[in-house]
Amino acid sequence: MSRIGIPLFCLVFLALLIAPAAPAGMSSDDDARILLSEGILSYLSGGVRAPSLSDLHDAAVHYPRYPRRVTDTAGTGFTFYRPIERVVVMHANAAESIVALGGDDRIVGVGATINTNTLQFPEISRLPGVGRWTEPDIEAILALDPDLILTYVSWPEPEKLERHLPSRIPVVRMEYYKAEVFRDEMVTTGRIFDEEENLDEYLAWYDANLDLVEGRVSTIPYEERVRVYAESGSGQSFGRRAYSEGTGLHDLLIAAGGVNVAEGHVTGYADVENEWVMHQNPDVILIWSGKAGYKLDERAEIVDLYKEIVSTPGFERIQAVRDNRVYIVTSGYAFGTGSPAALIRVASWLYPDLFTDVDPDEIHAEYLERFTRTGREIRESGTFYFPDGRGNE
Amino acid sequence: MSDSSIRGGYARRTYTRIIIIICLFLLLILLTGVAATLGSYPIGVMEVYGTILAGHNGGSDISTIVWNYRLPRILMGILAGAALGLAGAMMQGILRNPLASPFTLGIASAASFGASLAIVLGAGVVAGGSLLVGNAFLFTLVAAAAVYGLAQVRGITSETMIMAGIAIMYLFSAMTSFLQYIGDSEDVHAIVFWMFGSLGRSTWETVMTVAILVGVLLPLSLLSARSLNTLAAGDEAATSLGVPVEKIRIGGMAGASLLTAGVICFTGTIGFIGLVAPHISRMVLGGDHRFLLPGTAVVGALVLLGADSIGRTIMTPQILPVGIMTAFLGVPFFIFLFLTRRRNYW
Repeated sequence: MSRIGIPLFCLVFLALLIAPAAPAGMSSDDDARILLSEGILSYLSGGVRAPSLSDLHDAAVHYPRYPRRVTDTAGTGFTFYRPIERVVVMHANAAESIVALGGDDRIVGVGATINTNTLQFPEISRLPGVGRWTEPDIEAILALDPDLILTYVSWPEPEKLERHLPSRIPVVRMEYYKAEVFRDEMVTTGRIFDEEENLDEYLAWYDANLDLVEGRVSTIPYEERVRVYAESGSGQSFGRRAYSEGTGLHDLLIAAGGVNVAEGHVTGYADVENEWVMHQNPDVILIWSGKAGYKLDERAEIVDLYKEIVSTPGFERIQAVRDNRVYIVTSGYAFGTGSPAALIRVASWLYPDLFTDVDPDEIHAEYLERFTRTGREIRESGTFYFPDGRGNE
Repeated sequence: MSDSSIRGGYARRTYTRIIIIICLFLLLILLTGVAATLGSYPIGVMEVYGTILAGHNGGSDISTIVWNYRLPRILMGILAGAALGLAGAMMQGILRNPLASPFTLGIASAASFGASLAIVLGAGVVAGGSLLVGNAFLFTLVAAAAVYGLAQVRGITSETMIMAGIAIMYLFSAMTSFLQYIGDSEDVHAIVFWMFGSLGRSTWETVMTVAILVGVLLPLSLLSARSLNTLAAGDEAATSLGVPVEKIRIGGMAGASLLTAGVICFTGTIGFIGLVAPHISRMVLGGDHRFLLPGTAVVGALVLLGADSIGRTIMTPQILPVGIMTAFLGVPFFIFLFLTRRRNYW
């Protein structure tokens, strides 16, 4: 037989062997067998996107749970024929999720926001930088010879990334901060990194906390629900910026059982007048900030946000301010892998009587302990929400 | 044509211009009255005027809304529009160039850089809550001084000042872009919002500051109106008629820069007024700076207050940035005048 003939014979044999094992209700191993047979048939028929012989060989001989197929949030499907060993991560939300699933030992390069976030990512922040998530450094990426790149759905644009990369490097696009796709993205990440066991552990924690809140707030009649005004706070140049449908902050307060006073008035986020907030007279004001969280030196900015809103003229007559129910959550807390802890915190702010037996701080501490690599410094000094009883209120 | 008919024609034109300015001013008063009743808190018209007449007591929502939010915002719109329009008219007159404005000469770019420096790095010359305002003000003056210094090297002419201004504009724009590049997404967001411009941050303190600035510089600019008219004939002609060209140019630029700095450090870069308000006034009132300067101040106030009033009510409770609304409102009007005026207005 010729040099090509032997592998071809083996592949045909394997395809015939594997193909019948494809009943409904399959395990991931069954999936792998089907994908392998499809790959072999595609190779034999000379398909344009057919896998290489070495891909099929590795999957068939060395990695029995491969190939595996995933679809990212952008809707692109990927088939992996061997475990992913070298990953470039462009943004911190993705890095946080990979760390939570224990896949960070396969990260070889990181975006600038991860490099600078040394307290949240004490280990991977030291890895080689690959530019910003808006402006990737293609040469730095190629020098790391990655198996895969993880980035946001829309950034960097394909013209800045995929266009300059060889087709063998897949670019997986996922957000990791949007509640509606977050769980699916974690499942996809678990499959990419072959960390299903850790994924199950994380999802058990995630689902338990979400179920806890849903179980307690879902029966509250609409007219008895707490009315919340959500905004991003008045920074150095912002006016009042209300958040409504289509934003993570809205999803958070709705999941916590609140009613957003901006719903139906504002789509996404928009600037509103102080007088409109006074007219709405919300029970609770919930502010989101991108500052602080894992950045210990930014607590003062959170305190300033709080002071600004409670001292705004006329706001002293708003119910939320009168009742001291103005709260701030940071993005490092409210969105992404740690969001169930923030959800319980917000739900307990809205309905303290329903959550007297739950300690949100304990749940957050558990998250930090089990699913991050952060140290004691973060646990003791991180400002993830405000007021947190540590002064400046 | 006899001497008396020429004099009669001139008197008629003068009379017409004065009437137009008075009408514009009355229109501004009317718009002010309407703007006070607009807002997302439902307050009746009579209730608004009753609250204004009763004075500020701060004990009710309505009093707070009218006195703390609506009136400062309206007055800032009037003053900022007047100041930016006046600054643009002075610059166009001094440089004899229809494209001259605080923005095309780099002054607004410098303010944006100063604000960006405060937002991204927290660095500046004034500590505490005034950091951003202080930075924007200071860098505006730095840009004006740089334009003057560069132009001085080659002689203070309109061409050298425009060239220097454009160079400064690109330099500060590049530095602002660099700060946006190194800033986090929240910082970039804040910079972009600042550059849209807003009257929403107006307080009685900021209104008073701008009022003092306009109160001092508007009469001074009117005093230079005759010199600016002479300057329109060219540097040589103006010099031969005894006009101190360089002195007028430096003084006028300093005044215009100060007006711009004093406004945009509080409002952000509202970029359109300084360019278009003078053109609208010129098309309506002609090129005589004795009428053009006060007319531009009123037109600038009208455009800015009108744009802000529409911006905060058209999609209530959402507010559209005033910098965007001024262009939406002013450009169609400008194009209408541009296409319908028969004579060459510039």
